[in-house]
Amino acid sequence: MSDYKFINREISWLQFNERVLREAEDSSVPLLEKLKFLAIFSSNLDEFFMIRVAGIYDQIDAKYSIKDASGHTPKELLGKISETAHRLVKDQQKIFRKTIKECAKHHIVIQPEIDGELSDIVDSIFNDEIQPLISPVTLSAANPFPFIYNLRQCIFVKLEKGGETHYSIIIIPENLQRVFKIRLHRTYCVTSEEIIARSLPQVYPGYTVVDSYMLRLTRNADLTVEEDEAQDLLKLIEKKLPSRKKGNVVRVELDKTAPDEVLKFLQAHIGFDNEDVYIVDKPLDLTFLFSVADSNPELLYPEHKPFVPYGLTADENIFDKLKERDYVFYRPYHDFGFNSALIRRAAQDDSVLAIKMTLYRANRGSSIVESLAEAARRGKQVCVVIELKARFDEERNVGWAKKLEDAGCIVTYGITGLKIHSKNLLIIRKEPQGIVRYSYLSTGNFNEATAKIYTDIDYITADEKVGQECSNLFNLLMGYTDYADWHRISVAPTGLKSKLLSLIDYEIENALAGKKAEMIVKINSLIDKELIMKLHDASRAGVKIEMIIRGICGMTAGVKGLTENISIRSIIGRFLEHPRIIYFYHGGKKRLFISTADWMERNMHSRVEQLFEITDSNAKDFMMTILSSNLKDNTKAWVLEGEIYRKLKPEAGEAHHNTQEFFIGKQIGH
Amino acid sequence: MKNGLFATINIGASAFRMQISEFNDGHERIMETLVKPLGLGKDTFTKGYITLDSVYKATNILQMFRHKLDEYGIKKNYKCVCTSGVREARNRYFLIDHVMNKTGLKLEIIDPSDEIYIKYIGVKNDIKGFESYEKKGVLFANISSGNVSINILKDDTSIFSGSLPYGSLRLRQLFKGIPIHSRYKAYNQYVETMFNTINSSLGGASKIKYLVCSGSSVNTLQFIFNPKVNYFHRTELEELYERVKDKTSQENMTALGIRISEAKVLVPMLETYLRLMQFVGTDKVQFSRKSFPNVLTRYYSNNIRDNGFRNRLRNTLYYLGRRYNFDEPHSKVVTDYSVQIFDALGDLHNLGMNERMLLEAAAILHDIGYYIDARMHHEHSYYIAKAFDMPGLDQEQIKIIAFLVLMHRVGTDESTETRLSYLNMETQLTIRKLVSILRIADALDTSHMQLVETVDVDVQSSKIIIKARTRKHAYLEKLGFDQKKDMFLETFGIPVELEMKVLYE
Amino acid sequence: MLGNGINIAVVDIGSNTVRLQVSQVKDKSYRVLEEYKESVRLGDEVFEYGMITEAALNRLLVSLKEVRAIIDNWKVHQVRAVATASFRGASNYSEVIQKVTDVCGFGVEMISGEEEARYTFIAASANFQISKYHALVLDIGGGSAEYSVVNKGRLEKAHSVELGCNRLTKKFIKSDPVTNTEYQTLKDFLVKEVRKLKLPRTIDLLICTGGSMGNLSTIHYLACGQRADRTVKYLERKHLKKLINDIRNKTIAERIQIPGMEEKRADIILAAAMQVDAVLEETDGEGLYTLSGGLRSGLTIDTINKMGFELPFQSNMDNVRHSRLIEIGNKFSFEERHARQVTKLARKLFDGLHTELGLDKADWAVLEAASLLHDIGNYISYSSHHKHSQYLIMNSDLMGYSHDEIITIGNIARYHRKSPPRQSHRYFRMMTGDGQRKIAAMSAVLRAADGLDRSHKSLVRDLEVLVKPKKIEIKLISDHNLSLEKKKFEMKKDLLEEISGKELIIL
Repeated sequence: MSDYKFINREISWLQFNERVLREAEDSSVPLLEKLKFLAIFSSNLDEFFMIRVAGIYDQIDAKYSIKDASGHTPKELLGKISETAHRLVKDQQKIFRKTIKECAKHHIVIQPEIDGELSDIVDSIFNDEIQPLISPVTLSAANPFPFIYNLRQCIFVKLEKGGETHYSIIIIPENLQRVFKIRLHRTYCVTSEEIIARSLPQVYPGYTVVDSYMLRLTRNADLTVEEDEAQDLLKLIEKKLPSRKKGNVVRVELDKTAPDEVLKFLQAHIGFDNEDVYIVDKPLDLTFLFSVADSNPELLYPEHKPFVPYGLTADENIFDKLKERDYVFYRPYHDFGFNSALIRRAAQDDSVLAIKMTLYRANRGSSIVESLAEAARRGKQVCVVIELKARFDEERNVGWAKKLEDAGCIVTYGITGLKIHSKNLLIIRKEPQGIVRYSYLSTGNFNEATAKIYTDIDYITADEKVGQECSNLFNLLMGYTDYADWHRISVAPTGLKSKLLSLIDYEIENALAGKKAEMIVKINSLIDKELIMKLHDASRAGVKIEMIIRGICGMTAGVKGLTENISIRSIIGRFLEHPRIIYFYHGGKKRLFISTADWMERNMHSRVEQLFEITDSNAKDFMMTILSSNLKDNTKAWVLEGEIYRKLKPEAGEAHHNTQEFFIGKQIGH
Repeated sequence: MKNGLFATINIGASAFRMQISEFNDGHERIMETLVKPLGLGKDTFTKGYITLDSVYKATNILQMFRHKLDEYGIKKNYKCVCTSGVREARNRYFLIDHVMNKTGLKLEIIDPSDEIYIKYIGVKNDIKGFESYEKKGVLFANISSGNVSINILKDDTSIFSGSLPYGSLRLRQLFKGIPIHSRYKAYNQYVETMFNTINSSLGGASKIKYLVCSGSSVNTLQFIFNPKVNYFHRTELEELYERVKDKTSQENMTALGIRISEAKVLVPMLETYLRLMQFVGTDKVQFSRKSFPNVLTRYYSNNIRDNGFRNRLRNTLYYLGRRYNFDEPHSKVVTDYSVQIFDALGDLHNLGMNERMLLEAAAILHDIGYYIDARMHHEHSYYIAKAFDMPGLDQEQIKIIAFLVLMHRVGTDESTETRLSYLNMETQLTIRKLVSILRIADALDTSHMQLVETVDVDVQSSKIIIKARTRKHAYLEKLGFDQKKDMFLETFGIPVELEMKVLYE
Repeated sequence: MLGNGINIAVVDIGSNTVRLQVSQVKDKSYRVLEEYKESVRLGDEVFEYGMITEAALNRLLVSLKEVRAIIDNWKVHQVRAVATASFRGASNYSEVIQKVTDVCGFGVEMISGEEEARYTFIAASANFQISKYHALVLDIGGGSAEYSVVNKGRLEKAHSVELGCNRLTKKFIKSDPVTNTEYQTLKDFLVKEVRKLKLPRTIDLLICTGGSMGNLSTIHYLACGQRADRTVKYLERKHLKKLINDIRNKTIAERIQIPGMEEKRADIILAAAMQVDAVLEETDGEGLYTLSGGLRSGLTIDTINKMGFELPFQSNMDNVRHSRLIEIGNKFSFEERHARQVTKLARKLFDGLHTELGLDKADWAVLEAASLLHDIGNYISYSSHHKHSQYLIMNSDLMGYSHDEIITIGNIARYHRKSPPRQSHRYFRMMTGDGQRKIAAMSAVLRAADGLDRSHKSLVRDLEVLVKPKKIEIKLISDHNLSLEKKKFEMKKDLLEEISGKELIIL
């Protein structure tokens, strides 16, 4: 192990979130987009605490003190995380202050002084919208400290009555809108907690309001399902949902103005460590900036028009077209609407026998779900494999799963113990020459909403061999079979990682033999130890490795004797880089794969993921175009130097290349 | 059915398998291959019946398979066959009924010999030049959980065919109580006894050249060795054997990455393989990569065939005859005459090639019972014929052959008629037609001296005349014919007459 | 036993043929390894010229050299060559014997007609339950015929008369085909000669040995479509008469066409047949048995006796049955070693348990038969072989067993594996209650014994049965690892425990 070096995934993740945050100060980013990055940073961090940090707490509670691969005990790690997170939150505050000043110049006032005309409006908002919803709890022997739900903002109020100090808590109701935009000659954005805070005397008649402080708790929210008992996953998750709100506290965000005694009081009643406390300026929880960001389209990225390539239309001849060649789509530059239309067409086509699909996160009002239900009503066999354990989406998932079942679809919930991450659609059609299977493999979810933000590859082919393997995959997911043969597709957890390792080994062999050996890997995370070690070996053997890793990266880059032949970059842009594309020189064979799997242990071992080899030469060229454009990016790319990321800037005289901008509106894909 | 979609479900002792294929002018496209492990065999071989829990699990799996049929709109073009795991269970009809009620799938139990035969045909159609193996000598073994089925062919003759209770799971269950480090020795001793049986049955050395195996064990070995070629070499099997023989199933499972069910039977299975190689005297076990469901699918959709089957059947029957010291020249001429008369009377009997083959078989075997005793030799012939086992001949066909040899002799008693009456009318009629012909043919060599040189069948509107030319006066034949011709008239409603002419006159 | 496994050879130089039989002495019995036969026809010249001519000697030596080669090949421990009538009638026999000794390295005993008769008698005893009959054993050779009268197993008298068929043919038959006159003359002569022997009227069994009669029965068996390769065949007198009539009207060339006719006997066979017919006429017999290889088997047995031991049947008539069982076993290619081992173990168990199981000592006879034959059904097919065994047992002539006993044997064999006796089984239901009980008890013993030789390797050398009040202990004696045997015994002992009502424990 000493020959290898790993970077801790939490630390690496925080670095990633920092890169997100830094977008908010990139001068090339439109102003309101900066607000979005600030919001993303916050929402990312919330999730990080709820799950990752909570996980470290679990380890400590379990008296687990073995060092991880990067050499940290859980306790040490927690310290490091706290330190980094505190620094980042401080930076975020700074950037936020700076950004809202700029916004003010563009007549968008966030956190305005409330006076004059504004104060009347705010008062009436309080009276009409807010007051009926809130119920303050004033602490006393009869009223103990209430349970504060995860991520719920509270106002902690210090009162006085008859010379006695009282504390009271207002938990801001979930159904209360977070921000009110008041359009006068400028747009004022006021948060609900601010409105409440200034109206406190109204809330506590007969008391003197001494002061009030914002408070927000983050709790352990990792949803662990007892796999063995998962007889009926659906029922289990429904039961489990309420309990998620009751986890241990892992972070406390508290108003900067709160005095020590308040902190002590809270600590005594809630129970948390000092290092979990994040003292922040108001407002807490910047995710509300998402809803501010639509205030002026001109301050956003100019709208881009996705288009349907190849002159395809989902009309009655579409299946003949699909048989002619393989098609590769690149969202969001290509219009995902075609894909939804294709499913709709399949639902209506008389020759279609069956439709099978994996659904991970469906958007609300998904047309895909509608199409599937319709197909089932028309007597086609529709099989939907639903992944219920996608974090935080459970409630939504359960709802439409029932809807599909009611329509007569065969709905299954995957394999106990394995999350289903592969994204497949299979249309089986009876044609005069025989059965034809149309396979659709994707790196992204069949989600019409996220398709606009995430970049992803969709691949459609009528290739029989691929059809067979897609069919295998569905059979596996639906429990129709336990074994299958794979050639074009490798599937985790059984064969994906070994396939990757053997492909890397092949490069190593060639490198050692003095032959050309190179690989380009575009993924979102790299943390799998075995793969990292293999990459170290490859680097030492002289394989040229270029990696584009958006998020967590557990490996150093360019370190002599370790990773000197490895370059790693991360691209953070307006779209979330999401496809996994992997290229191997393979002795001149140039093999190309798209995949759903990040290179993390959990993806390799406890999820159903796929790695699909593209053999069509046009499609391979397309993938290479994406990879080389990514590698050329000098405006949105960060390079990893050792353990530190550095943002690239065009050298003097060098042309700017922004890979995402490059693809917008570009007629690629032939 | 030749073109279109065809599905096969195979319920084995350790797994349920399904395959759907699309056939187009002899070209097969495998659409689906499904495998669901469920150890019905474990229930059956240890308890004698399938537990309720397993029945429900089986039904669930079949419900899923039913979905697959629906997916392709397959209504009738499927076969759902059960092998030993169901076949040997006391409550098999309960399972069949339960599945029928819950899924609408009709399960059929397949005879062991049919099962092996289908596998055999699969291998035969897959291995190039297999037909020459049948000449040079090949041992085909199917090692399953319950039984080891062995079929030895040589000179286009099936010289041994049998299902022996030495399946890997059976062995494993048998020696459960013996400590792991010495269990392999018990397997070793036990498997050896299997070869005693084969040897005593073969009655002397027959040189065999090739060893071909099938069964789920082949899959396990393929997984372990991942061979590029279609055979395993002795040395690799021996090495593996040494490595695993005294380890626990858990250890072997982990070390080899195989399923626990496979690991459990690995050692007895390897033992069997190695002993088979020793027996044949070869270093190679050949196999086919075609799965059983695939073979079933192709077989039931009439997309594979057994070239040379009739020839092999004929050879095998003569081989059997020699084993029982039959009068070969007599059997030969009776066979010739039977077939000749059968062919000449096509319009009269309306029977097909299958019946012709059965007649030929019966003609070869009709006197075989003499070996047991001359008295009641027809009964003995019947008994031996009933026990005849050759892959490719089903129980129904064997039954007909047995009845033909039983009835070839005039003066069969009441019990013959009683036994015959259990068969359905159509079969009875077929038997009567064929017996009528066989009797005439047998009569033409009553003396067993092959006095008749040539036979002509003259079909006239009111009678059939058999014109025989003989080397000398054949008094016995004339006598025999008069005794044996009555049934012909009863069956066909037309008399048959013998016209004999001595050649030298 | 001493001499176990050694090979012996007997050579019979007859008037017509030289025959060799190589046997291996084994377990109080012997097994024929190889047989050889060459037609030399010394008799032709001897009976004409009174001596063995140069040409005849050469033919003899050619044949005996081949005999020598075969003997060497088998590493024979003892060679016994005997010459019969042809030498006895040759004036130069001692020179011939010297010549043979010089060339072939073994001497030739010239034996008397009485000795010939005795050997034939020994052979007949091994094949027939001669103790029950008043039998005539007739050996028709080329030069002489040996008549032995055996009364209830005891040799009453023996005659050697010059009625060999070569001799008779030479003397009486000159034409081809035989003229009526020649035939009638020979017939009258034979009737007269036979009458001279004053054979007892009470003779109820005629056993013929010698090649010519053997050939005659073979011809008959073939004619009616039966297997002719049996040691013992039966020929009814009416068939004999029919054969005689057939043959007498044919030329020798035509006779050769008869299926089964040995070419070199075609001329002399008539005389042999006519002699036997004359004997049947005299004794009022309805038919005859032929016994092939009589002289040679007798010689072999005698040779073994001379080595210092008797074969079982010679002291105990029960073992005639036993040899017949072995013969049937061999016919169906049984695994003799396993069969004998199972029988041995069954015997031990039977001896130790028969009172426990309510069996009589005499029941051993049927259990023995079932033990020896339990696996013969394998000949038909392995699957259901226990049922096939039953079928074959019930349809093979087990000599010396009654009808009921044969059904019992069949049942015991049938229950040696798979299901225990059930009322629904036809042949079991046929038996009386007590018969059923005994079948169950004996099949239980057989099962256990079979289990104890599961490896078919005779690993259990011996066993002891200890009957205790609540259990039966079985102590196995062996130099080998018996795990398989013990395992199988555990699985097969259930029936035995059920019937004895005691727990069975292997020690």
